[in-house]
Amino acid sequence: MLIIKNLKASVNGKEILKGIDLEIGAGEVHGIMGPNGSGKSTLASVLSGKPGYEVSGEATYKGKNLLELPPEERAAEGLFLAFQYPVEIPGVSIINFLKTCINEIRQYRKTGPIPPKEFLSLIREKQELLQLDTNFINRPVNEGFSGGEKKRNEIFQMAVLEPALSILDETDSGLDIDALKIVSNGVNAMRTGNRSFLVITHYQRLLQYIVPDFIHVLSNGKIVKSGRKELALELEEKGYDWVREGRRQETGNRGK
Amino acid sequence: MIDITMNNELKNKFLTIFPNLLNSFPAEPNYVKESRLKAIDALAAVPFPSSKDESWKYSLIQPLLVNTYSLPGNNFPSVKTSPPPVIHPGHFPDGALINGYYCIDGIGAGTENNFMLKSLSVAAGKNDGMLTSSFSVNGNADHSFFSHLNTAFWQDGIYIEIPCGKKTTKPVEINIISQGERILSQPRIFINSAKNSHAEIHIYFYGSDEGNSFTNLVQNIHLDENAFLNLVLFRSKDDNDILLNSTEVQQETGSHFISHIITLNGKWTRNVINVSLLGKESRAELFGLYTPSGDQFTDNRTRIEHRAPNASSNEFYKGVMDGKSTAIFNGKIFVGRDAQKTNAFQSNKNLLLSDRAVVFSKPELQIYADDVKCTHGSATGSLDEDALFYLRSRGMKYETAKKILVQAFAGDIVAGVGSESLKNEILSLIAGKFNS
Ligand SMILES: Nc1ncnc2c1ncn2[C@@H]1O[C@H](COP(=O)(O)OP(=O)(O)O)[C@@H](O)[C@H]1O
Ligand SMILES: [Mg+2]
Repeated sequence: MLIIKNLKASVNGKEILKGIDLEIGAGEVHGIMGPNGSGKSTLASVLSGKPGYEVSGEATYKGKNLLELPPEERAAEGLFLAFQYPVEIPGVSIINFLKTCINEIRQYRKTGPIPPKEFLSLIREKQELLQLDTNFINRPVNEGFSGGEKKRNEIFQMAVLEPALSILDETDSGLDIDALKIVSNGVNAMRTGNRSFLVITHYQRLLQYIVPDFIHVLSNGKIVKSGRKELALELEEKGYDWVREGRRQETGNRGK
Repeated sequence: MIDITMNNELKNKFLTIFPNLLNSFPAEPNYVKESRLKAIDALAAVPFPSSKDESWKYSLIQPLLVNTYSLPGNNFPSVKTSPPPVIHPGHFPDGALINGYYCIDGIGAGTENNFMLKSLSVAAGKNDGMLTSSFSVNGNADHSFFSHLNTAFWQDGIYIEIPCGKKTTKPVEINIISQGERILSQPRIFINSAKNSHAEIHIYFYGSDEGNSFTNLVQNIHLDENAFLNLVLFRSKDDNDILLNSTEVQQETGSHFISHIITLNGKWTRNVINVSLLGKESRAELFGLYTPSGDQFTDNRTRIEHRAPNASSNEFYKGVMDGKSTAIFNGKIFVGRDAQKTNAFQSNKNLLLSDRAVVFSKPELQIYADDVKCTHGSATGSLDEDALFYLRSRGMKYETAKKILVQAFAGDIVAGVGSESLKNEILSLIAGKFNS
């Protein structure tokens, strides 16, 4: 699904990602953990095509050079980013926003606009999945939302757009335990077939609900350790200092 | 036809032709003649605008000066017997002016009896009390050069009255049309909202296809006690005309006035609106939207005078600017000594889509009462990059994302337009204008 080789990114000459190698197969869930400032969000931004970075290295997604595509084409190819800090867009209702997105994606895929009935039942289904009240979709995107509402809205959008590869950037932060369960449910409901996930988190808590196949530790712009899901617990116990300065280590088998 | 150049000589030429002109209105009642004479005296005392004047300091005056305009010399007022061009197919305006002349054909048959609309010269002939006071220059004009010019030389116009307690069931539509090249027209509109009346009025300006015409419009609006009026002034055609429009509003006790002054296109526009809150608990809401691009120029000037207690004014003006356009917003709020418990709010926001566009935004507050709540703010910025990326990351093309953000920015300005179809027309025109 996604193959990243020696990916580097800098902003204004400051190198933030210093050579990332990562391979995510179809249907796999990968967790990325790491201390604040290690470059987790930068990795998510670069993969989804945020302008403003000088990028080198390779990222191949479904056989295409991801780095060459504008963000909207990455999305149309099935990539999704749940933002750590979702942006408020006053004056644009969630429902109109999603309808426009779906239709633009369908235009890219040459499938024609979504029939209104189909759209409404899709929205209703996902609203139920995320336990959102009916008025939610008429609100302007993220405007005045609580932290938890914003995160739930990200996962709602993901559920509606049904991406092939989703990157979740600290979706757990700001969520209480009930919200966390709802959000994880939403994600797990989509863990079918070939969908893949890259779950970025600072704490291992989220990974108890969204159980990953692999975990990678990012520190200072590099993946310093990769392993199976047990790595999360080990990290929680020993702290990030344990891996911070080390070279990349592998524990367990990469599998597949 | 008399040719006139818009410069310092213009005034003298006008002063010279005035006696002739006065004779060409034989049927006019004395009070109208007198108002013309007074305006001529006033005009003689005011210099032609220059960038030395405070109110023209940042305005682009040059475009006013380059053309020679044709002015009808005699045989007016007269009516236009050819119907106005069809602007909204399948639907007639309630009133239309072409080059300042009243159209008698091709307008709505007046099926509604909850308002009255007629040619201003006809209405003026009836010596109506309300018109008498409105025609007094000192009482009702903004003392500017062009208002005096209009008061002295107006050709014809439209008089609208919403009688006591009546409510219009759909917006009253007026088209102000200029046709031909380098025509100077000076129409005048009077709106009289009687006690407890309720109306929405749309005034559309359509510039000439040939270009370079000059329309000097003056409007006088009076809202009697508890009257409600929602006025939309809309210019959207991409033409090379100059439009100067001065709107004078007087509000009595408990009246509620809303204006939407929307300038989406056109080479040069100056919208002046002065609102006097004369009666207590009166309320004014002024919305403005300007979206100049290329080398278009828009100048919006508002003045709100709080003359009575417990009145409120809200002002929201927004601009979306592209190319090397220039825009001005100047908002004056005056609170008189007796206007206690005034609530005044003003906001001007500008979205610059190009770094060559220039905007001048200036609030001016003069407050002489002590129990007053008055806030104002101004902000100018470019498109929010994070919002753009957010939308694109969901699959929207750059152009679509930009369009959506511009529409969202402008949306709250047009939200109060009562007519859904006009609201949608405005939003889609904006989207169409900035879709590249
Ligand atoms: N636009 C930027 N300009 C300058 N520095 C940045 C920018 N974005 C991120 N950084 C820096 O890069 C480092 C990694 O940031 P980020 O990717 O947000 O980390 P994380 O998500 O792991 O907390 C931090 O030191 C941060 O300050
Ligand atoms: Mg982060």
